Amino acid sequence: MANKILIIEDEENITQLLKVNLAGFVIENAYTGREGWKKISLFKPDLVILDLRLPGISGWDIFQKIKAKPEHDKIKVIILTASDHKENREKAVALNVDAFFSKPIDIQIFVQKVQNLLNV
Amino acid sequence: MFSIYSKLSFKTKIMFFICTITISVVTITLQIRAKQVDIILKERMSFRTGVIADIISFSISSSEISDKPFLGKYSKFILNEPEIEYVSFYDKNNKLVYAAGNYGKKNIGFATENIFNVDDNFYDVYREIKGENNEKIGSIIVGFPTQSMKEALRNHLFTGIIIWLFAILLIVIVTYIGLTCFLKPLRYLHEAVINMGKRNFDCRAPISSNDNDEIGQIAKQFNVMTEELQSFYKELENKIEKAVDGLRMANQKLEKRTEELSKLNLQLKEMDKRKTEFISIVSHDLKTPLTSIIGFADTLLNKRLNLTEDTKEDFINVIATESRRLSRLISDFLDLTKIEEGIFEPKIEKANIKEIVNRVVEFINTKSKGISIVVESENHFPLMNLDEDRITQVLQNLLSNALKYSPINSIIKIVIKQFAEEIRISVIDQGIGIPDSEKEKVFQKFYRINSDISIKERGTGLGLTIVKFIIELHGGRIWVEDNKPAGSCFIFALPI
Repeated sequence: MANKILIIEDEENITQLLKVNLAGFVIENAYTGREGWKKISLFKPDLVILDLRLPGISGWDIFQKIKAKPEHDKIKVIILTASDHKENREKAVALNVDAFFSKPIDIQIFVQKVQNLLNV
Repeated sequence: MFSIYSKLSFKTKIMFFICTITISVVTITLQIRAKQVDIILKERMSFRTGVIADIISFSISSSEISDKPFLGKYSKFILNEPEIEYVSFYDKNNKLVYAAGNYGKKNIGFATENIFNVDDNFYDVYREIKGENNEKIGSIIVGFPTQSMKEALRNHLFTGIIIWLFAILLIVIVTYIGLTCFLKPLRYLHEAVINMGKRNFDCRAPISSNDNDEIGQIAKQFNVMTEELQSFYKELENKIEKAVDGLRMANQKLEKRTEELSKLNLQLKEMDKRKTEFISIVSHDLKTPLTSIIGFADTLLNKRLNLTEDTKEDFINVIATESRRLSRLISDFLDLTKIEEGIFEPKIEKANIKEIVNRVVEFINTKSKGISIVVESENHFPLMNLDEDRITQVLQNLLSNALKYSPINSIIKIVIKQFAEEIRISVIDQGIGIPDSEKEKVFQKFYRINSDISIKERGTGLGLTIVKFIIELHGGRIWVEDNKPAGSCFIFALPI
């Protein structure tokens, strides 16, 4: 069965771009933090692509919520942000985020990373 | 001893001194007087008793000295005199012939006793009895009692002691009253000095014109000194007050300056924070469309994806839209930078506002949502001094916002109206409207209303900030009102 990916990103174009390039995976998306958090429980993704600047709940809050629940233990998280703040990068290292991408991204490398994380 | 002395008041000391001296003088005087009285009385007694003894001795002849019955009779006569206690007669050989009276005499001395050395209660006077040829034919001893004299002396001593006591009492009272009187001004002076010590310079030592003694002089001088001191003190106080006022003012200035500086510091910090925020937002906002552009371009170039022609066209459209967004972002950021650095200069020329509005409406694309734009205006407007490009930018911005928030197939109305001193242009939509709490905030930098539409169609968050700045640069103002029953109404007024 194909791996499931949840994209939590408020930019419609970016979501579309990711969907096109990640063809072959089962993909769901959410535009807000709240919607994304809801879909994690419902959709049970194997990997979450998470933007940090989101309307409502922020990306970091969602990340911490995911890590707080043992049933979400297996979910891989890729952070995709336009922010190039040093703190975010450091925080990602400190919290053991699976991958951290700063926009603009090289879409090929990004797809490669997703595949690696999902062992495809 | 010295400590007790030092604790005594001045008055007590003087009283003690005067009393000691006067009491000593009175005592000595009274003692001398008592001695004198003693001498006088004794001398008088000696003289009187001598005379009596002389009379007795003269009244006895040589024949009578051996006549005992005569002597007995004569003795009786003599002893009738109360002042004579006893009498004894002797022959020429000092042999007792006859004795009468309370003769209880110890040893007989054939000489007159010294009155000052009498050691018992009797004073013996000795007289020789002379014959015709002045030869000694016998002798007598007459004994006088000294009791009455001693009594007189005792009385005198008693009177003396009474006088002494009275004198002492009088001296003490007079000295006390006198000192109290004399020292009164000194007490007032003391009170005045204490008051002065408490900085009560209004206090004066009371003096009358008669007080010309030393204390009066001191009091007068003291009052002069107090007045001098008072005026000096007042002057000093004034000077200090002035100095303190100066200091206070300087302090106030300093405080104000500190406040200004801390405010400035705060502003600088705020500015610095905003700058950092600005850079962060700008980089974020620039990167987002850039990610789409690069991402879709790469996707288009990825032959493995086998994209259909339609999809490719969609992607090209995305790239085009995102490129335009990027361009708009960059021009907005540049405008904002110019505004913030104060180098945003409008090119003011005479222009017709109605023509500008019509041109903007003509070129705006409203087809996708089926929206129609209606312009309501009078026929003629005076030419206005304005920067045509910038006012066009304002209108485009307001209209694109209105389009973004308008429902499908709705109407956007633009009303141009002339007032006494200004022309007002309203852009009215039938969208979701703006809540009262956000009517002013929408003009703030990077402020975005939280709604589904603003999430989907991201602006720069700078459009209205730039609009407001341009309007204000023209001396005008801009505000938001509600459109009844729904929608918002952006109104800007430009002075004629």
